[in-house]
Amino acid sequence: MNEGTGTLGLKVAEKAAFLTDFTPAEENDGGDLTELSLLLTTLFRSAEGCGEILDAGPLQRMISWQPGAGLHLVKTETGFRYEKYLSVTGWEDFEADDVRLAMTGSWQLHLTLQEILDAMTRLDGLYWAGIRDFETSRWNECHLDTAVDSETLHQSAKMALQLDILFKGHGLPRGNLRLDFAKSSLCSWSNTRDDYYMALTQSELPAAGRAVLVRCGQAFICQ
Amino acid sequence: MLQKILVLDDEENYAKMLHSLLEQHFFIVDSATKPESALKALEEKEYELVISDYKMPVMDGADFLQKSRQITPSLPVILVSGLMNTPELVKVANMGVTLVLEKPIDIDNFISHVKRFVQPLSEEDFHRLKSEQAGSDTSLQDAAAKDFVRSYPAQSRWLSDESPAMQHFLQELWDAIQEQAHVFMKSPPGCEFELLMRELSRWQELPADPLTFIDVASSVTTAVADKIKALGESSDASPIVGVYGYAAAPLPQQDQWVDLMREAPESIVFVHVIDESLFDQDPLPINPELYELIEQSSSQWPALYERMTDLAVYTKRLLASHAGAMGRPERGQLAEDALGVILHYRWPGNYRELGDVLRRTVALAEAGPVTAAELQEILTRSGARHAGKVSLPKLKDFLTHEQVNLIELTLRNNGGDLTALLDCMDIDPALTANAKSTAELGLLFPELLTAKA
Repeated sequence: MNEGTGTLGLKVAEKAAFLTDFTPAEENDGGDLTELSLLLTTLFRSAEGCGEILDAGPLQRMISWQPGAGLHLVKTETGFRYEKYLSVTGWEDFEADDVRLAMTGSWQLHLTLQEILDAMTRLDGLYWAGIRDFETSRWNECHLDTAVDSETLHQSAKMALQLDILFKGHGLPRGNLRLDFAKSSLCSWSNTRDDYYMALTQSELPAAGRAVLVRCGQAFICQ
Repeated sequence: MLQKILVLDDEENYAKMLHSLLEQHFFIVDSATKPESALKALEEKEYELVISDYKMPVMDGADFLQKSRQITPSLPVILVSGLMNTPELVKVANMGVTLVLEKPIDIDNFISHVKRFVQPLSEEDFHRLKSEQAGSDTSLQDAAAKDFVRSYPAQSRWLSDESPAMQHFLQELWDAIQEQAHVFMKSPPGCEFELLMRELSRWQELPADPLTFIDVASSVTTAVADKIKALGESSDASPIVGVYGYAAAPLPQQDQWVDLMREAPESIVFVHVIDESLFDQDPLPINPELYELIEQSSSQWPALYERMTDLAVYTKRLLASHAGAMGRPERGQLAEDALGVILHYRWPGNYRELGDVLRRTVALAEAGPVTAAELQEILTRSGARHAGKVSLPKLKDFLTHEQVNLIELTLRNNGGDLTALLDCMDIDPALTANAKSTAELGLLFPELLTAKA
């Protein structure tokens, strides 16, 4: 994460630590964290619901952001660490250096929706990807791993959509979401028309694959 | 065909230096110290490239560029200059300058840019030609030079081809695609590959989507093989196939794909994009069969930094697109100071980097239009170096610079030494006591800096 400089740099506006049951940890600086604790409990349960349906294991990390702000929840040895970011500009603010570097050579930017799904079929480590049209509620998808059936995927996608609605309802940064479970990772993007693009991948994609995924997300947003 | 360069610089020594430098690299050069002479030469002879100074008395580089465009509209023109301010850069960008290089020039960098437009002769041919030229003043004038005629379909929809460098590149591709099943492009990182693919399809009056791509770093699958075969019979998809991924593809993997391409229907054209940095490796990690074809013909994708007009076009488009996608149309404009940052930065990541920086800046901006400070912040966060902070010269620096030019011109034209000249000018010797050259002189008339002056 490159935090930049001056007043425009990426900033951590709030941070707090919680135990596994989301009670505030002793190391916090004080202040009432009750409301935040309740909120994170709700978000965490909803996210874990997605993972359970997919048999993806426990949630390790959740990132949700929109231009200007972001939310980061990560599992630690003792519980969870929460951070709220300001001046968020893109996935670059949360990606490792090797992914950012791979993005410079990844050309999948101006693609149509069908071409995005075609690109996904060439992505090593992808289980499933789908694009949901808000108007018709229909999914256009590519399904590479037959070990997870279509119905299960749609159920988990539905839960991810509900999670996004939770973010929206609480006025939290939303639109770009990443849920890292122990066995897989679910990413979603939503555009200004509330269409969704989602992808379920192996938990650790190689940098080049992650770069293609992010570029396709950008292509989707610019449709 | 003989390819010639025309050099123009009002400073005779600099013109001679450039002339000599280019000849050391076996280019055929004419040089001039007056724009009028250079324009006359352009009317009478054919050149492949013009290299001109920007700061010249009477007719500056922009005026010369404008006049030279009237004579030879598509001729690549490189302007070499000291500090240029934003309005000057915008002016020459709008006139279609091919490239602006800063003085002092980096020789290797300069020569590599020149080679993009003109190929040097072999050492033997160069000396033979020079010796023939010595015996006959007209021998070079009679030589036919290559003339650039744009024949690819006009009005690009996705690509920007406002710059002469891009027009040359596209022309080469267009010519190649008419005759060859494999077209090769050496590209710097981050080029607008998918836009080119769409444009090539459209030019051939074929569907511009869906595009078909082969990643040679991936495994050949039956599904891809079937798709490539089907392309030859389908009228719903373009038979132009983009091929990429050579930097990450081991040779055995490439071999498998080459086998597949060999069996592909004849109507398919494979457009290969190859990272230019691969060509620094020895041996080149490219399938030998493909390499043989690359040696016969390949095109160099010009870097975005050299395509200032394309840079301006893409900036406008990408800003509007990202601002629209974020539902913040008011951020789809650039503040005046921000354009300087765009034009000064070298964009090593080319189109992708430009898109990323603009997207992230639109996300960062509190309100439109996007400012230079916001662009600088994103460049810093991206780890960009030499982001090119824009500043106009201070009055004192500007006057001192002009003073040095004037004194050197006077000494060159009238002879004599510096001390005598300063004496004639009635300059206080204390002001110049420590100066060993004209460049070390302080401002001789400091009163020029006062408000009254």
